[in-house]
Amino acid sequence: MKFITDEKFAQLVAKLARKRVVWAPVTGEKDTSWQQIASAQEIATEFVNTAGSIKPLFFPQSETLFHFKNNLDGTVDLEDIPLPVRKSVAIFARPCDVRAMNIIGGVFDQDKYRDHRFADRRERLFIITLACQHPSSSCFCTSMTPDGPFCTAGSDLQFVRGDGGYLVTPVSEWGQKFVQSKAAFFSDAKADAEPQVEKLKAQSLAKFRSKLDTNEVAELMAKNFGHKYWEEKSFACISCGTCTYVCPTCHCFDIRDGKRGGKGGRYRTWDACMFPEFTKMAGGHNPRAASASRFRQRFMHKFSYFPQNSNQIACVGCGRCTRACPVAYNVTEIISDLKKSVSGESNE
Amino acid sequence: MSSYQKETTQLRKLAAELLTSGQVEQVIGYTTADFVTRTRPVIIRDPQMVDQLILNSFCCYNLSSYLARYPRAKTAVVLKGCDLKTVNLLLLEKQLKRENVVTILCYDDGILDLGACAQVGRDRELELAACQRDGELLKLTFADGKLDLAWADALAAKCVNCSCQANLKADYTIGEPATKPSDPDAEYRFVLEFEQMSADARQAFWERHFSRCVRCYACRNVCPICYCSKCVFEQTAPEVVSTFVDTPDNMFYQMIRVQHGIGRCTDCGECERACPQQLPLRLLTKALERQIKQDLGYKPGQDDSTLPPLATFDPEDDNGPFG
Repeated sequence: MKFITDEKFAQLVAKLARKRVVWAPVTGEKDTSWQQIASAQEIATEFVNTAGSIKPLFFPQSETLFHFKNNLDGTVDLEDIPLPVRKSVAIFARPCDVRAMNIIGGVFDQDKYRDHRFADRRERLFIITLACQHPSSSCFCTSMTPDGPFCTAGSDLQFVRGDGGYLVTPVSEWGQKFVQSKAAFFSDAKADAEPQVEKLKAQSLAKFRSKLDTNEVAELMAKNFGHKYWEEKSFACISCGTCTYVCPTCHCFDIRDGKRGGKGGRYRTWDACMFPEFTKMAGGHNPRAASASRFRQRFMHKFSYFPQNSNQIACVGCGRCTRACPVAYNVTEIISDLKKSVSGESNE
Repeated sequence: MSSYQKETTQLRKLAAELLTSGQVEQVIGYTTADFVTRTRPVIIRDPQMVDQLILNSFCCYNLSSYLARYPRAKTAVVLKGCDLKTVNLLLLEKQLKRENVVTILCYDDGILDLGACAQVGRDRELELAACQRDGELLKLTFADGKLDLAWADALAAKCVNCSCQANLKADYTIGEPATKPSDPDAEYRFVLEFEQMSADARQAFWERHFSRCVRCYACRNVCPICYCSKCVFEQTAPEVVSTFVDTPDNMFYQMIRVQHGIGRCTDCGECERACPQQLPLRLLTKALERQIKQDLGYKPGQDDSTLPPLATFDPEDDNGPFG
């Protein structure tokens, strides 16, 4: 383990900002969000989590895939849009968001298919994760992974706040190389650093109040697809895309052409299964015209279909959907109330 | 919070009577949610379940938005003064049948927005363990300590200078109206101050904010007077607004949405509350409301029968420069 003082950290950030694009949470007029920074002073410290996740850093909300031009002779010219090659750095991503990146990474970067726009961006993004010591009552990452707020999955470096600086653990090979090549900024951590981190982790874990019981949740959902619970529970839902857009594991997108005259660009842009027209087909049929079916689908996807396909629950317990929902839905409650509904009946 | 115990008991009794007598099939109201500062909309059909209904200072939703889902069912709906104005408008626009709606007006002394309060904020708001009104103070209890706020500082912005307490007719009322503010224009002051900014400064302001819009359409979906079965923004061939999210199209979308509310929007404030990016949308909705009041002497939602000026034609109208 290494240690970096606040002063050295500020110098490191300034150095990184000279050659790379550096992202960090910044507190603005209304909220804290991911912005490009030039100095460590801009980094927000007093907040639980950003409103949106780091997802746009490797999966932008809207992105032109290529340009095209329809020629008069019937041919089409295509023009690729290369990605920036300059590497990026994300400073103080939360462990939940970073873990999410790996979960959806499995969709965009698989054996048979590699979405280079997602995968290349992710490869060029160096992630410094800050372990959480002040979770919200709405956070439940501890239910989704045992290390919870100190999880290092997907990180290059893990920073833990200590006295006058940060305890630094290289996680990936890139993180290891980074610390070695910038050795001047880091010192060796004291002998008691590891037990200190363990203690801080235990303290953080003890603060969590929300829980989501993931035990056999995929089977519970699959068995109760037709349950009247979904009709009742979904009443308040207004079918906006808020939960989807703030979620770090949601990844559906729409593809459209934007053109004027004979030329334009094909772009992809985030889509949400909660929108009424998400499943609308040419011809007008919509298998999920009812709000209750869309509501059910969201939770089935995250807790049943996705786990069946890839052995991971598509939820990291960041709690954003719960905090952002305009009608105060709570995902842990939606699952626990389903259980209560189902077991209440079997007890009759 | 103000203790609404008495009012909650009255409401539950009324709801049970309405359901048992068959006067209504369902009651739409507020119920508790996960945290002290949150409630949730609920629909009750079984008179045995009326204890789910509550009234407190966190009943922020405009429940009239749920009425349109049940055009043929007799429905009672719990309403604040601001929400009742929306029902009047929906009745006027024939989106609801008068005989199918039972309005229950519950007077309140303001909705609290502790997330917007500097001393609390959005993160800490969820950590609240208890709150109690004590005269002009609001006493807050957290796990790690207590905090006293001035009641006025804790109010949601839209509830400061509330003018929705008087002259509203409902089928049933619970509680007593609070006193009206003495200055009838106080509620427009924040808009007038904003309009003092130069056009360039206002353009920069809106560009700054709308660069953060994510087009989740929460503002549109939560709006009770936004009820087109096929929304123009869902049209694909041709597109009216590109789904490529960028600042100019975000502004265009919002302008079109807000302009659908001219002479109709009662500034219930739900759009601003629902926005996950906290865009200051009431600067738009309130500005339009003020303009209509100033130019046409009309305030939407006061009753369910007076035709709005923008929907009427009178040959005696002054046609201005058109003679």
